[in-house]
Amino acid sequence: MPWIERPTAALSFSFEDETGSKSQVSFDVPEGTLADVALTAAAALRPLIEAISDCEVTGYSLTYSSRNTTPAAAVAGSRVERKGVFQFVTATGKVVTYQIPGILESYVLPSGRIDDDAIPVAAFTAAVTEIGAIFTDSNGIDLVQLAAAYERFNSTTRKQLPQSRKPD
Amino acid sequence: MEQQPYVAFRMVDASGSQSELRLHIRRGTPTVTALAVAVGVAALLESITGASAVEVLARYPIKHYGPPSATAQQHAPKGVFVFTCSAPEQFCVITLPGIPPDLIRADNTLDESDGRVQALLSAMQTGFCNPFGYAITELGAAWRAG
Repeated sequence: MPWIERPTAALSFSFEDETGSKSQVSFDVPEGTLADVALTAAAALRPLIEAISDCEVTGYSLTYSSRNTTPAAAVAGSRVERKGVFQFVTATGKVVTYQIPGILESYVLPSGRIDDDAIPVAAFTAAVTEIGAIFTDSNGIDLVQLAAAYERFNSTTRKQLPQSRKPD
Repeated sequence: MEQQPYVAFRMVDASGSQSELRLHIRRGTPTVTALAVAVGVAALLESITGASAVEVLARYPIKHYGPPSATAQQHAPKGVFVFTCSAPEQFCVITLPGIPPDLIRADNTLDESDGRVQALLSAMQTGFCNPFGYAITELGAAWRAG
């Protein structure tokens, strides 16, 4: 399952005009560019862009990505609408929720709770909460403990309709 | 204002539908570390879901808060800038919205000698590249579109 980093990182600027319409432009930097360096360059580029655009720059983001060149086939019958909801408590007592798409039925107990003692489930929660893990909530606070894990079904959006749904 | 960075996992199920899971990460996490950890967590996710992880992203967002610019106009016309790169036959095309009228010549090309355009070129020549990683060298052409 080789993962390959894209040769560039995308620096995307968001624009908004007088009417509230939005637009976006992406630039590229080599993938080896440190995030601090790229964001400093973006901060320097922003006023130069604003000097030749009448729109307002409302923000920018830097995205590095790795692509799986040989992804495993999704399990037959899997659906992203079937969510595994994991709720974690942060160091300040806040609860954050993550919805993992396509949770395996084999890890869902008859009550609808996810079996957090199952080895793969425990490995995932440990990776997120262990001391030294890089994961935090949206305020930068550590995630310390799993509070709840259960199955939930979301409505299917138009984009999530099966691609081969028409009769042959 | 710098927002909390995050890693995102793009996952695909058996019907071809996509979904994205985002986990925030510490500020200052090196991108190499973030992506490496994300690839590891992607494997853990695949062990508990039927979906397949096809891509992982590490994103560092910055949001600008403040009153909208008084000069913001409708975002047409756009300005198309074509930059040459460090390898032959390689280009980088950027389309910017809301080009001010004083930059547009009568023939719909943009005034490349204008100080603002030259300042943009100078900045693009430092650390920027096209999507294939070739460094930007010169401004080849610029015109109004739309």
